[in-house]
Amino acid sequence: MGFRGKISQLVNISLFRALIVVSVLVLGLLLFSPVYGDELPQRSILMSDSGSSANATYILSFTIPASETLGSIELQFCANDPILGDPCTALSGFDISGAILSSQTGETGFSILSSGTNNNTIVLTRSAGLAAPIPVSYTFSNVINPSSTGPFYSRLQTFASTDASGPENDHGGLALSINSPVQVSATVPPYLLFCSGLIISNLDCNTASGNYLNIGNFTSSTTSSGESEMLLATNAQSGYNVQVYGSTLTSGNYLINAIPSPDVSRPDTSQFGMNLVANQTPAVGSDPQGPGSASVDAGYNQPNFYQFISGSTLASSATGDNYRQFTLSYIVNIPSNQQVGVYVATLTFVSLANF
Amino acid sequence: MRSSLRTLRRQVYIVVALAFLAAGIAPLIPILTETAGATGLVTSRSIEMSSSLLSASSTTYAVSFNIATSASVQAIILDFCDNDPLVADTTCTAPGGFSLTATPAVSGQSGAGSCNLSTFTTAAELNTNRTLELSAGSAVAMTAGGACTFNITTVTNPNTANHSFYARVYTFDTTAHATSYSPGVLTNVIDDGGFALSTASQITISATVQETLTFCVSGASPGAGCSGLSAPAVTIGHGSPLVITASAVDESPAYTQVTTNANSGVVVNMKATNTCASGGLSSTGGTVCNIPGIGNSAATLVIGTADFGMCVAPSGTAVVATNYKDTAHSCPTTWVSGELMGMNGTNLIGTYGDTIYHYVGPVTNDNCTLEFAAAAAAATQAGIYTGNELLIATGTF
Repeated sequence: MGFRGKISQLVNISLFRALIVVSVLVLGLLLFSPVYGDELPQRSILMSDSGSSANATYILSFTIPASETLGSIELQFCANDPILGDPCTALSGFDISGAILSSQTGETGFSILSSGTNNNTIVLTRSAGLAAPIPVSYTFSNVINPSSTGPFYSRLQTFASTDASGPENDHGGLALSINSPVQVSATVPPYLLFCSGLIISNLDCNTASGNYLNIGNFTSSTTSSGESEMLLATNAQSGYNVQVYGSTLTSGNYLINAIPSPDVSRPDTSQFGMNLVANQTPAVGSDPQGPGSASVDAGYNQPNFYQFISGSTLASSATGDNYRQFTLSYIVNIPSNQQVGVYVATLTFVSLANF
Repeated sequence: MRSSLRTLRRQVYIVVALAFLAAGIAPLIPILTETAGATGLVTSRSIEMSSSLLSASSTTYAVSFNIATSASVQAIILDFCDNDPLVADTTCTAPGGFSLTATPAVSGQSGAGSCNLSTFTTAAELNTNRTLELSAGSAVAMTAGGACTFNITTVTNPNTANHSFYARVYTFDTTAHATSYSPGVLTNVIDDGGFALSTASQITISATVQETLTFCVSGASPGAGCSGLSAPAVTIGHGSPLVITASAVDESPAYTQVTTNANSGVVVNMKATNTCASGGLSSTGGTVCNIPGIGNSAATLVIGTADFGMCVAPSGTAVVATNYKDTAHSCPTTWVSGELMGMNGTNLIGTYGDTIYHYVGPVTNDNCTLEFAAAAAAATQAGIYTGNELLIATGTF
């Protein structure tokens, strides 16, 4: 055999080998190319939580397109795409291996096939039986979401076999999404609204006016009285109280006695007292007004009974309170031998809010 | 001697060559004589097939040609052959699988004009469904250049893909002469001509469109393709720093964008992570909401009343759920009195949340603005109130 003959022989051998390889490939494709059925209509996966790494419940729903023998359902989750036959990239953090089939509707009788289930895939199995063309749903709890935000995918197939093997009945892809939640925040700043004056209108501290109360000329036969007002509101969680500080009416070394405990008005005696409710004797004052619920403290909450103790609490609320307007009623009685003079008392009101 | 033998051999070769040449030309002689002499060659001839798929049945062949010779014509023969289109060839092999059917149907004959085939309504087959004879009750005068057209609607294509086959057309003065036709037997043919046709493999094109769902949530209005996102942190309030008080209702937006090819659309649910029944804002971890959700049906927030609500302003085709729809004001960016908002606590704390809007079909880069609003009452406890709202998009493919 000459050189040309050897070359020809080599070419023939190479062509023969190439032909064998191509034949094997074609045969392989023919034998192992999957055959896909119909698309599963109305397919969806509803998640109970779209947060990353959340423990969620998934409801898989779809409609069986036509009567068919149904023995298993395979649901595979992938990071790359929902296309059957494509390599499936595992999802970071995703885990459906511990899922629980908590409910099923439509075609029922399924359980999880542990041998076909792993982090990314779950297989439902039952005794193969004829399935009707109806909507079905399967609820899986204890599914751990992917650990990163963004879309991910699922590939769904139904089979006549009980282990998701062999030719499929139908299939379908699904797309899902992991998102950050909307974080809503709002700050309510602490505040204590507190004002006093002779007159406050419309529960508005801006209208407070007057800080000098002239009760007039005292006589031993008649109780002198006067009023001032104060308005409070706060969002202090533990509420507030308001106290009064000061001294009784004095004129130089002379004074009018403060009423040390609740007592009625007694003309011709030395009395200086106050309360925060409506009175008939004398007719002075008003009950608290406004939408708030703060109440008048003991000692100042009984109509026609008055007292004045410096440092005592006039009113309080155990919680944050809306606008509450108090009317402070002052009474003065003097004995007939009361020394002449201009009697003055300076009262300071202090409110303490507990946030 | 050797020279004589060589000369003799050369002469024999020449004779043999001439004999082969004569044998090769012989079949062409009738063609040359007929085409050049007795018949005219139809021009502008074509046969358009409605399908080139092998074995396609009920295929329509649109035949057209122009008359070459002004004369009276009563019948037309159209013969389909696998071997050649030569009108004088004495053989015509039927293309495998080809058939005009036993009752060929013809329609669309050219009307009044130089080739009026309107009376050519009798269609018959010859040669076992291979040959069409189209004839009229009486001869019709044709004019040279007249455009003849008709459709054969009952053809079954040859059964081989990518296969060339041919047709031969003849016009006859009488139906009897047409009926007597067989390849090479041509009596009183007026015009003739050949056609070439071919079946072709059908190209199967496949493409996969994968399911897509792109859903993003952002603190800034997203651009196309969920671009330009920021963390969806919504701080509601006025002033600096932002606070809510009993003197105003404040509002602040978050944004969503959906792109999907889900055939049955997308449903977007909102789910509260605070566990208080109202789905409101909490300063104590979620179990107690001192700024409660405004309620299970759309309502308006009121200055001085602690409430938390949300409305959806769609920019495209989103269908907003009734509870979150502000028809009168279109859910503006700044709170207005009477603006309707919702916060369905019953559903918001349910397993899958509350539907706030949906799409009925595929959608691209469709944005929605979620306007969250809150107000404090005078007695609303001081604190930082929070709520995490999960947004869950579910596509139905």
